[in-house]
Amino acid sequence: MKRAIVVTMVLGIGLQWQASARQDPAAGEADALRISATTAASVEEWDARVELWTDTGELRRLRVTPDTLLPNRIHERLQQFHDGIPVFGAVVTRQLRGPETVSIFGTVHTSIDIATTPRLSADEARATVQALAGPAAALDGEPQLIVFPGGAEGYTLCYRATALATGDETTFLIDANTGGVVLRFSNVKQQAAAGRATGVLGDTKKISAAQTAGGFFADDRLRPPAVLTFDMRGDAARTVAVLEGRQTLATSDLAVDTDNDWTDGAAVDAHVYAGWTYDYLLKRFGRRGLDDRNLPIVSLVHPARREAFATLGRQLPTFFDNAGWFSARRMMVYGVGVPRGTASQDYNFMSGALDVVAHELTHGVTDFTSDLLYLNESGALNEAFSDIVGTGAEFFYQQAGTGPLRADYLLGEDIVTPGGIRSMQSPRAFGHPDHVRLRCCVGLIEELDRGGVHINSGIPNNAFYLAVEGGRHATSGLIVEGVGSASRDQIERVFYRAFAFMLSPLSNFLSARAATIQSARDLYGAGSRPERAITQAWDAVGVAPRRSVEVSFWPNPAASVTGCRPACWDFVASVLTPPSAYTISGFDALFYDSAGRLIGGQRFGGGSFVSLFERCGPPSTRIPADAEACALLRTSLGGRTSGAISFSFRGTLANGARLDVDSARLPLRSGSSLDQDAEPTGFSAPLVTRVR
Amino acid sequence: MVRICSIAILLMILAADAARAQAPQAAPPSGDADTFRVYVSVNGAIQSAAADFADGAATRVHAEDGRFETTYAAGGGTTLDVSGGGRVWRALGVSVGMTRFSAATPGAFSASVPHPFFFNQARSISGDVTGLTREEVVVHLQASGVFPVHPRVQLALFGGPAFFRVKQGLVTSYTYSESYPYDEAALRSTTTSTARASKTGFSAGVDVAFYFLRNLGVGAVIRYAGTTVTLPGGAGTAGSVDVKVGGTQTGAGLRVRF
Repeated sequence: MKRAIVVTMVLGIGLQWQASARQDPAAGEADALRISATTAASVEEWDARVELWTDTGELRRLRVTPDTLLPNRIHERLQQFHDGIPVFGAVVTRQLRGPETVSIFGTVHTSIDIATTPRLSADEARATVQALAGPAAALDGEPQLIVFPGGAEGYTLCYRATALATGDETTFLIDANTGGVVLRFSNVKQQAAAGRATGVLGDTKKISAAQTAGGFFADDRLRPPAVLTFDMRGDAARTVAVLEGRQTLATSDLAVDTDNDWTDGAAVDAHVYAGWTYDYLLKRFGRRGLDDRNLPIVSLVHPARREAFATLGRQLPTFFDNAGWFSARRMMVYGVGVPRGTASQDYNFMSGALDVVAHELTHGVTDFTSDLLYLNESGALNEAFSDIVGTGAEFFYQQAGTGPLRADYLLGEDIVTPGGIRSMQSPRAFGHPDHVRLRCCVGLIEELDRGGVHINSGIPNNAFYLAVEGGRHATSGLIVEGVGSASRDQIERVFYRAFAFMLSPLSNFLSARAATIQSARDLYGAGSRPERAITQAWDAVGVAPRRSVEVSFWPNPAASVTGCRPACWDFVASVLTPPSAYTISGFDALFYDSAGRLIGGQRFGGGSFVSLFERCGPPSTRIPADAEACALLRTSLGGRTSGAISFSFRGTLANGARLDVDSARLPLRSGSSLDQDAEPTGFSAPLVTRVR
Repeated sequence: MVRICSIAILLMILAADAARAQAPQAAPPSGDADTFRVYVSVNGAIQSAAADFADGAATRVHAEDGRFETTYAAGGGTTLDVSGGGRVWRALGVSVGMTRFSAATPGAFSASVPHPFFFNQARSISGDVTGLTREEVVVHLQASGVFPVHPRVQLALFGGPAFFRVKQGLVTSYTYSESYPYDEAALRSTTTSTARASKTGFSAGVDVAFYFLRNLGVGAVIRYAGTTVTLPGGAGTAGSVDVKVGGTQTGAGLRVRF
């Protein structure tokens, strides 16, 4: 469990922070190497290392996947082990053309030096997770030992376990020596929106069913995998029990129709669109379903009754105005929508939109490929990949245009009316960033959308859009020469290939940029139009190698927290590195009044940095190359209601060169659109939990 | 048909009467034609191709109506023609003849097979169907006018109702193969059956005979015989199909008179 540490500032000016109690800032540091080898020299160098680590058993091959888009290519996925224990998120992907290595991506850790004998037994870890998840939760399998990058010694021996509880799947990382919680996150990939059912739109389509004496069942037997759609008949308790593994599904649960003239739009669309998505993945990418081995596609519809939204909606959003892919159960759940007038938009049955169904199923693809961690930038990439495939499927089956059943760059527009939930073309129309400069809330894992996975997806989404359609970027003003809608399939293939084969769990936007450019070169040649379009698109959205250390804030400007007396401001500060590690020895916070006059300052040492900047990666004074460290901070200005804050970081680059970095000033404004339940002071209450 | 036959017979009578008036000027070297009352002819003939025809039916496949169709090439062929008759009044005679015609009618099969996943995305399949034949047996009841244009040469005009009995091989159903992702299908086999129908038509023609002996000669004949029969359609789903049968027969053979 986390506890709050509140530090009162001198001079009446406060800078406060929330941090985990686990770390000793002066202790070890995680040392991650982020690999992005695409040039001959770097490939040769990393290939030699990979071979060496493979020989010593530090890297073990997880799987080898033939490239479905390029002949004679295979992709290896190698997991790092330390003393036989897997290192969390440390995966290397290697593209091979015959004996020749073409590219290498991934993350490895080179300075792990911890004991691997746990003081805690697996049973004790299980009991800990059970206590955390509640008595109704069921554990999915046995706790597994892993090495987690982070903690007092730089790395922490942990048990990893997933609990299935009430419409959620939560993975816990439990310190294998102390029993403390190192990390917890939900695996349920949700489409943060709801929509209108096809049945309401009145479109007719074919459904592949199985005929039995009892009628026609939603059991697709015409496709290679089983495609099964179960009707939970509004029984939320049973749906929860199924998702938790306490009850199993039976044939009698399958959606059924007596005369094969189906009228249940929610069941029809879940079933039909699941089949279409399978077809799209195969025809476009040569992929055989979620796991590329024809894993059954299981969908649950009518998980609750719409009328129950008032009582269950907050507890089980996936059953109402959302949809979700449940990794452990490998099932889709489509919400039933919400009663009209409940929200500013109308939400219909979630399965009624092809892009929503394809989006959710693509989370399954991600689970079996890159396994992008559903947090922060990697989580935003996870979401973006689902949006990209969802949109690709829409254009594959529907005519381009606007309105219902038309292909466009909106997400969920058929079931959330008016407008949908996201836009790849204009993310800012939905309050989402289209540029790294506007990136949201990375680090706010608990507080806001797991660090903005549905929000920051706007950045890679917009890059995809620009690579296809081209145009002048709304924020940067840069012009992208897209490949054109007639060649959209090229960009789809490039992204699929990069995301499915080259990215790894902790990949960030820069990794995605490098991987997609490499993928474009592989598929269409160096200097090809797709490569140029993708490079320009990433440039336009601000995802490009940094030339130096940068500091960014979110939100910018910051608005004062409602109910905080004296006035205070919450914000995320991020320190982002160039292609060089950066080791911080200390930093200063500088405070300004509304006239811009310096009114005070606070000096922090490296240990404070470790304590504070622990939300975007392993707590450490050393930030790896092309990575970031971030902190959720609260500040006050000694009773003033507006002003600004800036930071000045002191440190050294990997080559030993000293580098001091001054941030821009973050305006701190009065008045807040945020509805904050936090106590007037301190961080003991959840932060920014109701921002959206 | 009755009207056509009536006109043909009337023309025969008028021609026969005119021939009777001319007969004395055309004394045959080896016998007066008037003395012969019975005629028999046996011909081998070529029957020209009749009109091609098509037959099709709707089929319900994957919750959608599809259709298959076979276009039949009605080829020509050989026919055997035997007829006999006699003079009943002056140059007017009556005769009965029978022709039998058989020919291959290869079919070009095509079908639109609905897609299992999508409406209006039917797959096209096609193939050739061999072994289909048509058989026509026609009984001709004819009135004729016989005109001795030379002592050895005799011209006859004839016409009258023709009674057709037709057998035609038709495609009645088909099987196809398909596999995921079902974007294509292939014809696997067709099932055929023989449809039968009878119909009265008409025939008319001209026969020229050269008698190198008093009772025996050779001759040539051109006849058109035709009608449209209604055959039960493929698999019965289309109800029936109208087929034009018969054609122009051009033949030659022996002539005997008594």
